[in-house]
Amino acid sequence: MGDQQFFLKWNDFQTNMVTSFRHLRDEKSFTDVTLACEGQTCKAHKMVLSACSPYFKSLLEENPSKHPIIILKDVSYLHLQAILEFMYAGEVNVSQEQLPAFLKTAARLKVKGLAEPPPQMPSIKREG
Amino acid sequence: MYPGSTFEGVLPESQLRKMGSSEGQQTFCLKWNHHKTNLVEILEALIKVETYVDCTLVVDDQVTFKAHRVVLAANSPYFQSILADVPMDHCSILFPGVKDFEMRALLEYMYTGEVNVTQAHIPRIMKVAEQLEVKGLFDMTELRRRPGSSERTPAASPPRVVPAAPSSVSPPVSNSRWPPPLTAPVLSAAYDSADMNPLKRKKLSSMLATRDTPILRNVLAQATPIDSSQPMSLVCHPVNQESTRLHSNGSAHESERPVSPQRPFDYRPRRLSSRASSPHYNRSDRSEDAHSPYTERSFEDDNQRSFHSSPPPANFQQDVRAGLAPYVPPQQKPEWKRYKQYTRSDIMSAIECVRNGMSALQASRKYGVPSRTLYDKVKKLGITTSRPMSRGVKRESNGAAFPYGLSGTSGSEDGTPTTPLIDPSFLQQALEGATRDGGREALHAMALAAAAHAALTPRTPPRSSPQSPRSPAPHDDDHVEDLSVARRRDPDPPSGVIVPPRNFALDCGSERD
Repeated sequence: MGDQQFFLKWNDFQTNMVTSFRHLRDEKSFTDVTLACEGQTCKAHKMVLSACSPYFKSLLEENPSKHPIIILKDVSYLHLQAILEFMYAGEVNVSQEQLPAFLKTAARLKVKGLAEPPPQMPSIKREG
Repeated sequence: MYPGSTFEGVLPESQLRKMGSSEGQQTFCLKWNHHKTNLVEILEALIKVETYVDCTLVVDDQVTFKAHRVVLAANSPYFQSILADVPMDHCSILFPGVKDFEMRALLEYMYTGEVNVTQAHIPRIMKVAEQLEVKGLFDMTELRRRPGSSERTPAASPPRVVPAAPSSVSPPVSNSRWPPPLTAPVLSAAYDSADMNPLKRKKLSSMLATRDTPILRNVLAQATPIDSSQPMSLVCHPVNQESTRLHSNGSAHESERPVSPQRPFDYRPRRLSSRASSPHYNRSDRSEDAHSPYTERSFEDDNQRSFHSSPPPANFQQDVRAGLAPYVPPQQKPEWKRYKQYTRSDIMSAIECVRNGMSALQASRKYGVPSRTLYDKVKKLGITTSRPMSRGVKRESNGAAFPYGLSGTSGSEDGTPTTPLIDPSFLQQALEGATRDGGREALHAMALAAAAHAALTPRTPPRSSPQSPRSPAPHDDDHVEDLSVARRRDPDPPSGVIVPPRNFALDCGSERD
């Protein structure tokens, strides 16, 4: 018997991951972190946050807790939602007047793809 | 029994309260006066040793604070909503961007209702408080946004936290809706206890603050005659009373009732003569001495109370909700009134005049000696006065005005009221004032006086300098006289509606010494 290796690849893996996380977030299942700002909260997954933001990564690493609650200062709830949307889906629609503030918040939270001086800038498409 | 506990069932209260009871099945109210304060006290003690804490607050630089979720939730609707759907054994709350001093201050505020902060920190703390919707701090910012708000807002400083001393926060300008509090600068040295800790302070103040059930009134009314033999000087001074509101969270509306608008408090130095010399003094007299705590509280307010007490003022709840406890620093001393502003020669001359036929009242006016004191002295010397004081009538009027017999009678004017009955609400206010002014010993003494279980035996502490506002210098001889006078003169129980046998208690008290 030769130990021949087979390469199994699911072409839809990334799509599936994205949609699955999205579903999990929508259903709030397995959420393990609560983000709060402006008196409102939204739940998310530590894994996703850590994967998408070194800021959250270090914050969550420093505070190992089953379900931490992160109360963000000076962050608009609207922007927080948009940032989460971007983290989970990789894209988000932001109105033009909100864009500077949004990017600023994203920079503060070090959201990958929005904040870092990126190898490739995310393409900003104009819609509507 | 524990000093603060009263077995209230002792008093069948069918007379006092509708109890939804049928014949033969009387309902009794068992109430521990210290329950609320005990609860607060315990929580505060628990947080100090971090017992039963169930959440960790993490701020910048990995500084962590332990806390009880229930306290956080109780103090902030924001926390309440966040913590409601986080059913974990122990949760961490991270506050990136919040400094440790901010969180420390807010936690102390949430646990004790007050905190000392430096002026420089106020804006930041208030911002965090607003974000976290900390009750008292957050609600006030809501009020500030309201256009009708008449609060004077110093620039660059939060609305009702007026910076006064470098390391403290003082109350805002006194709001005319609230009666000026009364403080007790002079108290018996007998009660010069060890330093009161804040726990005790809170405990005592809310003990008095929560006394407005009929039963409790009755109990206190019974208690007062015994303890009211303590000399006490209660002096008005203009300080905002918001901390009272905060402590009492709405249950003490009686003592915090607004001053009636047509009689705003004025800060004129009070005249020391002829105040409250007669129980029947007319309105012009009274308005002249409107700042006298004795007359003001004992007559008008008690009348108002008995007739209008039930619905608190419309703005009351709101104020309570928004009640912030501004800290009055000890540096900000009010103008204490010296409680004795006459000399020995004054009183001797006055006595001489009375001996020669002048009425005690006239003599007291002439020499600036409190008429009550003068009268007692004269009485002791066996001089018959041309115009005896009619205490019986005075009491009667009080009893009728306030059926539970809580109304204070006016005391003697030199600030050592030989008051047989001290209005507990009066005490409460004084207590609050004393708290804020650091007169802890005073506070303690007053609280003791208010509690039914304070020493039955009148104490005779050594005299101290009458000039020192804090140093308790009771005129024990005066008050002993007063008691004896009372005993001689008041053999009959007062004719109020429901009046506990205070004369009896008084007699007991004086008999013992």
